[in-house]
Amino acid sequence: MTSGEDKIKMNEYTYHEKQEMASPAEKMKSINLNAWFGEKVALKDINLSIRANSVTAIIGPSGCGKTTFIRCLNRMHELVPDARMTGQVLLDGAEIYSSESDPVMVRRRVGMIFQKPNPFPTMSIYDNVAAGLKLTGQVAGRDLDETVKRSLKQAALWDEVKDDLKKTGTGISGGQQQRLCIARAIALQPEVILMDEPCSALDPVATAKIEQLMVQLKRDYTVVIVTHNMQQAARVADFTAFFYLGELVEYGPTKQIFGNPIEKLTESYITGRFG
Amino acid sequence: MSRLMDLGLEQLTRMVLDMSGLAEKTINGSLEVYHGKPSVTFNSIFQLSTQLSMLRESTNDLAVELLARYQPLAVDLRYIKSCIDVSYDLSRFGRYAYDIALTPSWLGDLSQCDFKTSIKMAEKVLAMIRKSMIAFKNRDSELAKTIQADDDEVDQLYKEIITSMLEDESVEMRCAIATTLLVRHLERVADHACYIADSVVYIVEGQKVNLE
Repeated sequence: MTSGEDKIKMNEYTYHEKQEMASPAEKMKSINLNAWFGEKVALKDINLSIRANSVTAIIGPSGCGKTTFIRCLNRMHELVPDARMTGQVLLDGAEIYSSESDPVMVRRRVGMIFQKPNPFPTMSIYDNVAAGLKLTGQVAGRDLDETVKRSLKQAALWDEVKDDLKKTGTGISGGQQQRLCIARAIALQPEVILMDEPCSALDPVATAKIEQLMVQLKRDYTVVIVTHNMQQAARVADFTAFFYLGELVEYGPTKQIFGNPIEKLTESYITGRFG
Repeated sequence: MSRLMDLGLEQLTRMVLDMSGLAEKTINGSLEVYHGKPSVTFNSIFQLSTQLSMLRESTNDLAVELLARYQPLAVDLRYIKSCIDVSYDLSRFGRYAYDIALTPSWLGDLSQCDFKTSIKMAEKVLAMIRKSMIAFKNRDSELAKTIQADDDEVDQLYKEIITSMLEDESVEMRCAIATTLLVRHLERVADHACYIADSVVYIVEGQKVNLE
């Protein structure tokens, strides 16, 4: 009687690994991605695979290319005059830069939240969330009310604004405005949500709320955040990528990147020895 | 919304409590082996002891990850630090249980030895383990502080048992050695139960209990 009931299943006790193994599917992938602003190289040969239903954080010092990278993931980089890129970006295995691919459709599937909350200033809270839906004619009438409510709930804002839906979208706090922007993005039912420094204009309490929200959102969406706050990446991300001077230095499970990075450069950066 | 760190803290607590259940089971089993009436084999004690060591590693891994991810402060910081300490104490229970269970295979059949006083001491020590872990689970520093008196009793018994064997020349050598080893291990187990209780006081009150 040496085995059997006394044996404990060790894998019950490794909870982060379990999370990572639960979401092995690849949602997006960049292949040999290069990007330029005029003559200046912004990204060099980035190969990075983003897992579905997880939070992936992109970290690195200013100017390392992290924002450029996520702007390539929903075809926003090409909106900048003089900007160009080469390489491939796949969404569910399909090239988003192919000639058949519609950039507007890509941006609907891959939504973006910006550094500074940017609700439409002349619109009410309700209309901010409904605007995209009205524009696309996707939903109307009572369905529209339902979608607005569901989006605000998913963005953890409903309870705070449900009695003020007619109030202007800029009449609420910065943290609430950012969650309103998240609700606006969610309403269009994207598959991937990109967030570019979503908390850098917010106080610590509002930041904590957005961070909790990110972790909740990954159940239904794939989340990619750019942050210069390493602690934020450590708190919310399942996977972390470290960019430096336009190159992807290291990419792996957050636990590994912050506990035991492979590259010396990553170690120097996260321990505050440069950058 | 709960804090992001809470998920990890709950998991850490579960792991430490699982370890404590396992540790108590291991010590109970080792005493059965020692007394020659085992419902478990020596091998299973060895396995349980190994599992406790592995669980300690996993507990520490998670604790380090929580420190790295969330930069915990105040009670959270003290709690995570204490889980690292307590998981060590619990793994030591497994190690001492292994040593206790090893005694008969080393010294031979002990069924003719007098177990009366050592059983009394073992019961007290098991009660201390339970008390320390109840205090840990409930973060009850008042309960934790009462363990010092239990430890004094255990120490007293320990001395009495050793002295009585010295004085009683009729005690068989094999039994004297076995009993000495057993009570020595039990005395160390009791000390680790005290360390767990000290950790509880540290978690709740932030005070380090001064050990003698």
